[in-house]
Amino acid sequence: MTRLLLRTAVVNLRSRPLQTTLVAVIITAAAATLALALSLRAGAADPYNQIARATNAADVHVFAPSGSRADLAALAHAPGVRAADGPYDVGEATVRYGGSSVDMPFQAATSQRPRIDRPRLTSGRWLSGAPGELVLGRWVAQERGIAVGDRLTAIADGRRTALTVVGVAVSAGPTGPWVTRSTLAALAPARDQSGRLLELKLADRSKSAAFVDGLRRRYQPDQLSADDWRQDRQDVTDRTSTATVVLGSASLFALLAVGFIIANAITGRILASRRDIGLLKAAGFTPGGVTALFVVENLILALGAAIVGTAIGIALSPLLLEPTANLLGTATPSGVRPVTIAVGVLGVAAVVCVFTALPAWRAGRLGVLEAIALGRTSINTKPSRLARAATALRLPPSVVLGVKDAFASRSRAAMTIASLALTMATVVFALGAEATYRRVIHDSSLRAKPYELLVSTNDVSAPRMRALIAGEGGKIAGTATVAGTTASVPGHTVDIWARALGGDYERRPYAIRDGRMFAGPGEAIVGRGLLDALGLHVGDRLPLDAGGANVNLRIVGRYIEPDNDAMTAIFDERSVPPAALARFGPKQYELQLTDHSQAHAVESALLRASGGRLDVEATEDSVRQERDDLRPVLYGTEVVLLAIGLVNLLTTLLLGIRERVRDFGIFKVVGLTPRQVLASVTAGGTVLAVIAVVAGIVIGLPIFHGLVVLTNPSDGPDLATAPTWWWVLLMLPGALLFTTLASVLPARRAAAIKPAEALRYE
Amino acid sequence: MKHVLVTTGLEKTYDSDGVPVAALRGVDLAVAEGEFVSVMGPSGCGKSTLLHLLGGLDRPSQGEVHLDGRRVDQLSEAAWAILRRRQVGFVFQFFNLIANLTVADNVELPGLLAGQSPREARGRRRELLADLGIEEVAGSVPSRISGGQQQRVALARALVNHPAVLLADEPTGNLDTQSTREVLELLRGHHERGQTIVLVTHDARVASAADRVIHMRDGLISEETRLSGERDPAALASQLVRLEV
Repeated sequence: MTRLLLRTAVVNLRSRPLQTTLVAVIITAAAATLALALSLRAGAADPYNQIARATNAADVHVFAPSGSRADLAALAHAPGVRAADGPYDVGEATVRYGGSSVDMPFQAATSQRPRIDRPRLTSGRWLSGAPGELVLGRWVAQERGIAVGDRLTAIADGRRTALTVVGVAVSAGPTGPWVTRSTLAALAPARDQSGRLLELKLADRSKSAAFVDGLRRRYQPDQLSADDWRQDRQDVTDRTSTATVVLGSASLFALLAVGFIIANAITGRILASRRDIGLLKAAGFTPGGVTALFVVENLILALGAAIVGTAIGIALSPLLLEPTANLLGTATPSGVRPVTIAVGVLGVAAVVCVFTALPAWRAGRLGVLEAIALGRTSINTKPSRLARAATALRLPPSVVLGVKDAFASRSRAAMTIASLALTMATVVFALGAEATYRRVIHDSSLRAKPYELLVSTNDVSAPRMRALIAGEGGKIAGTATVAGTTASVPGHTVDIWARALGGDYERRPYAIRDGRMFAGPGEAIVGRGLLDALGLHVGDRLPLDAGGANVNLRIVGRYIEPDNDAMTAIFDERSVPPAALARFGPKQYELQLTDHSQAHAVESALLRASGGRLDVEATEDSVRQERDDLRPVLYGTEVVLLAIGLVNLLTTLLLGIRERVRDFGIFKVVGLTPRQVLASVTAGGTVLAVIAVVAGIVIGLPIFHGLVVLTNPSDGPDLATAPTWWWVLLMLPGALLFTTLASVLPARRAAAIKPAEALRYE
Repeated sequence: MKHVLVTTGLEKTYDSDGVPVAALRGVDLAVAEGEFVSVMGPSGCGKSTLLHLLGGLDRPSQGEVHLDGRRVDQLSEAAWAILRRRQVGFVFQFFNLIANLTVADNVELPGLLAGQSPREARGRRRELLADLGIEEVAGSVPSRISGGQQQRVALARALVNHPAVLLADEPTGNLDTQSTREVLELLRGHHERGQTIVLVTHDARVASAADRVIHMRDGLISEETRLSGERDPAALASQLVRLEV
């Protein structure tokens, strides 16, 4: 029996070469997309864990500042510690690159990589021990556009040290770049910004918070400070949450679309074979035998196509995985994973089995004559509303026929629309992401940065800084200063981020959503995260312990704050006693320009005038960078989905035509010209695509909105921007072009049908 | 006498896996306006092929076809389609109605294609369906009505544009006796109103409804029988059967 099934299945496959080839192409494309989507999901999922696994991440980082008497060697053997590495010398120095300066926390290392928080090289090599070599963290390298071979200059105490980037590495810890000990000594970091770092692995990672609390109770901050892996995870999550959600949802869309496409192709194949099922039953096949035959037949096809498709998907996966890892600052994962192969091949085979067995079983239970008759007219005989509308609109008869034909098999039409609509929803999603990024780039208040340039003065004095700003004259409209610190709220365990503003902060508004901007000392505006975490509302009092002083504020407004989980408060610096303000972080200058397009010109001018001693950040650059990094992955997925959607529509139309060769013969008998047949098929495809576009827009907008809110629960609702209407409108001509492409081959085949041949075999 | 359909030296050769198979080997035929011609012959003698060539569904390998005085065998496929809308009506053994269109849509389609307004097409369809006694099934889909009703719908569709010639390929081959009788009555009725009909059939009783019966064998016309005005169907049928044998 098995041999008979196999032989009949192979004969069936060979007897319909076009249909077999098309279904094989669809399953291959679907399996390739599935493998790509799975790789993308794996690459984008939980970046911290990826980094931690790749680098043997520390559970606890212990830092002892210079001059500390804390015994780090003893800590390495403290109860609960399973393994320790270090201590390593660390120190902060200013690095100049491309005219800009930035402070970096260097860590000394030998020619052997550290055992814990072991940097994983993504390009170049590790330190050879020669002086002046440097290995840079991947995230910093990506953000600053630095690559292996670039030369940087470190400045400390007025001395300059030339550094060459020999490698780029991924690490979960708070430090890096890595240099040799002698290089770090040559950098001579300031004493108050250097010390030793000990990395610990605990016997029980879940007890890291208790371990850190114990250290904090035993040591004063000037003797020892400690952080655990949760802080690292928070840092990575803050940095990558948007990209993770965008990539995750793009891959989810792809998975759903693949499911629909396979179901569509396979179900269509069975429906097209109903007549054969009747004939098989007439020849003595039982319903079970018919089901088994079709399962075997489609399984042979699916397994072959799925293996090829998965291999193609895996081969293509670096195209998505490399930019994803770049974006997230993780090590590039391999596309060859057992899960991808297993799900790619077995998952596709399972979907094929289910979608073969169900319709084949149903068809197998039909009576012989009924099956043969259905095979001749396996279509829905009730005209759809759309077809009635087309008639009422007095469209040409060929177009009306096309619209009616599109819904001849309602289940297939529904599945085609569903898979195309999902693809269109991803287009809406990408357009929405573009629109949101564009809005956030152009409206700096939405980034809670109502200024164009943020200047860290490093060792430039305040009078010199004021002179530099004055030197830019009319280009700078206003200057505010900001100093930040973490602050606690009495009675609550969470810390918040406090920012004290001075100078011309009233000139440029924050994006206030409730209440108003603070008008002077004693008032504050806060992020939604803070209100939610503390259960406060606009109008409530907000007592803070900041910089060692009690600061009493009243919340007068809520503003959009995309960073720090919106656990932030901004207030006038005069609300804080000067002594406490001095304990805030270094004061930075927020420069508001008369023309925001001049940001980079002013940045360059300030860097030139200061001799490169300033660190100037154009605030829109990081958002632009994030958008630019995301584009290749997002659009790459988009292209794959559109391509598979195209093949899907093409196959649906071709299968429909194969099933209805006789009807096309009759169309010609009653007077349809080949051109009208062509128009009829194209109209059918167009109607499916247009419905899919509308459905895609309808479901895509709320999905996009929901995902933005998921990414940023505090301000997502205020940030999510619907795509520009004319881009959405452009989707319609786009869909028409798409349909025309997909319809060319099926329409030509339909137009070429010879009525005499089509009607010969009754 | 005006001839609506004329063929001269009509040949059709098919290619069967590289082997040429002659279906028609030189058919000369002339059908006068208003004439009812039956074509009889055994399976494979070329009856249906002849009908397809007459209606432009296939192209002859040799010979000429003239429709209403115009040579049409060299027309393009599109030109034939346009010609068929007004000049040729087809009826088939298996009805060949378009399954996802209602009876009304099936009948109106050729009218709409021929340029009638929806109102005109609707009016003509009502008139025809009433004439054929099936106006009550206008809103049904073909699969919901009987074989006899389906063939009447097919007839209505074929006649909707008052074609110069009606080509019927075994129109009763799939019908019971009662339905066969009804369809023949309808054909006779339209013939009496001046409709030119060429009908292909195996059935001598059906063929006997015609003015003239052409017998075909091996792709050639082997015999012609002109039937008299007096019709004793049983006698005519037995005469035709004798000729076939």
